[in-house]
Amino acid sequence: MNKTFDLNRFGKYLSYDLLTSWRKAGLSVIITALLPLWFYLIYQIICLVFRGHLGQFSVFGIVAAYIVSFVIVTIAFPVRVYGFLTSKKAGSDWVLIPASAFEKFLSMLVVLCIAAPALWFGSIVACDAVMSLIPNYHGMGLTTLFNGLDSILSHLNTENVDFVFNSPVVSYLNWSANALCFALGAVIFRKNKVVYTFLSLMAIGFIFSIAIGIIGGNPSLTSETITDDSVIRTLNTSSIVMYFVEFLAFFGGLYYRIKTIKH
Amino acid sequence: MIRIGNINYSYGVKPCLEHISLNLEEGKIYGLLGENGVGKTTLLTLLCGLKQVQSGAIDVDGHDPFDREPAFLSSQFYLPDEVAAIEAKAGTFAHDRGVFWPEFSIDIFKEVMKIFEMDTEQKMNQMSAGQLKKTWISFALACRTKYLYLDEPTNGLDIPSKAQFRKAIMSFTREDSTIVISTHQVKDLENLIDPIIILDNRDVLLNASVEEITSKLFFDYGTVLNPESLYSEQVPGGFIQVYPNTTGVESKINVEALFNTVHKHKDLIKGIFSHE
Repeated sequence: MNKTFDLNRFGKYLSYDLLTSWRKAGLSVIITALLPLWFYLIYQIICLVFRGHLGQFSVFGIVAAYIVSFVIVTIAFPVRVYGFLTSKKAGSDWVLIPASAFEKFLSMLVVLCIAAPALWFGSIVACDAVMSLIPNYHGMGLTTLFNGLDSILSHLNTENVDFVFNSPVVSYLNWSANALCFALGAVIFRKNKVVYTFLSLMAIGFIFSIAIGIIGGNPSLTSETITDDSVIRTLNTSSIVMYFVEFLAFFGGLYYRIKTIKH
Repeated sequence: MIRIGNINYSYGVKPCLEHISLNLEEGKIYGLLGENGVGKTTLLTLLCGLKQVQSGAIDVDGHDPFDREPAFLSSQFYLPDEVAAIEAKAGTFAHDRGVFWPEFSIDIFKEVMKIFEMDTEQKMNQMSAGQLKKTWISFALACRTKYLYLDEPTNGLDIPSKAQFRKAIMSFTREDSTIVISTHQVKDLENLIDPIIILDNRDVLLNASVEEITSKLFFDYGTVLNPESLYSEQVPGGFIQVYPNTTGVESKINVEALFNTVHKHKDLIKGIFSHE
C-alpha cells in the first residue's frame, strides 16, 4: 500500500471528510447564501412598518448581501470545519485517522475549494431563482450582476490597453485564497482564530507591500510619466505575483501544519 | 513488537521522560503505572505518533510512530483520557469512522455497547462523560487493532461499567494484540493487567509479569507484622505486607502495595528484578 497516496483510501477519507463537513457547516452555508432573501424580507418588513407599503429593493442591497454572504462563508466555513484540529481531544483523534497527511491535505482542498464554493454558489443561484419569482421584486439576476461588475471594471480600460476582467474567475480565486488562509489560521491558532488570522494578514500585507515597493518600485515613474497603461500593467503583475505567493504559502503552510501537528 | 530505545522528551525546559528503554511484546495487556506527572500519557502519545521523541527511538514493527504512515495508523488505536463529543449518533459515528480500520466490526461495536447498556442511537454530544467514554471504548475494541493504548479507561465509569469494561476487554481483543493501559485505578484492573510496568521520570522501575512478581515478592495478608517486610499497610483485620519471596510460595498480587513497595525501594526492587 502506498504510504503517501492510495486512491481507495483517499476515496474513503474524502467521503468521510465531505460528510463530516456537511454535518458541521453545510446548513450554515446554505442559510448564509440565502442572505439576499433575508435582506429583502427585512427591507420589506421595515418598509411596511414605516411606509405602509412594499418598497423597491435596491440593486446595491443585493450586491451587498452577496458580498457579505461571500465574506462570512469564506471566513467562517474553514474555521467551523477544521478549527477543531488544534483541540487536544478532537484534534488528536483526527491526526490518528488512518490516512496519509497528503490525503488529508488534498481532501481539505477539495472541501474548501470545490465542495464549499459549489454548495454556496448553488445556493445563491437557487436563492436568485426564488427571488426572481417574487412579483414585486425588480432586482438584478446573478448573470446581470457579474456582467455589471465586468462592465463597471472595464471602464478602467483604455483603448491602448488589452484589459479583461473576469469576475467569476477572480471571485473564485478570492474564495480559494480566503478559504485557504482562514483554514491555515484555523489549524495554527488555538483561540480567536479569525481575529489572529486577520491580524497576521494585516502584518503580512504590510511587510509584503513594503517589500514590493522596495523591489518593484520604479523611481522613473512620476505623476507626469505615469499612465493608465503603466498602472494597470503594474497592478496586473503585482496581483499575479501576490496570488502566486499567497497560494504557495497557504498550500505549503497547510500541508506542513497537517504533517507535523502534535498533541 | 514495540521497542523503546533510550527516549527523551521534555516540555520546554522541564524534562518529562529521560533515557527510557522498554520492550513491549505481543499478546499482553500491560498495566502502565506511575505517579502523577511521570509521563505515562506522554509515553502513550509518543507510542501512537501524536508526539515526536526528542532523542532516542521508538520502533513499532519497523515503523517510526511519528511518520504516521496509514498502515501503521490502521494497526493501532489510542483512547485518550478525555474523549471528543462527536456531533453524531454513536452508531453513525462508528459506521462512518470504522471504514478506516480493516478489521473493524460494527457487530462488535454493537455488542460492546450492549454490554455497557448503551444506546447506539444516542447522539454523542448529548452523552454524559461516562457514556461518552463507554462509546469510545466500544469503538476502540471494535477496531480490533494490533496495538491498543488506553489512557485511564476506567476514569468516569460507574461501578458496574468497570466490570463490564473488564469483560469487554477479555472478550473482544485479539490474541496477538499488545494492549497498554495507563491507570491510577489499579483496583479496577488488578486482574486484567499482566505484565506491570511502573514508570518513573528517569527510569522504568519495574517491567515484569505477575508470575515473575509473585515469584520474587510475597504479598502477605496476615495479622502479624513481618520484620523483613519492604512495605506494610494496616487494613481492617490485619496488614498487607510485601517482602522478598524466599519460600517460593505463590501469593495474590496487590498492585497498590506493589506500587508503594517499588517507590519505597527503587534500587532494591530494580536489583531483584534485574535480568542482567
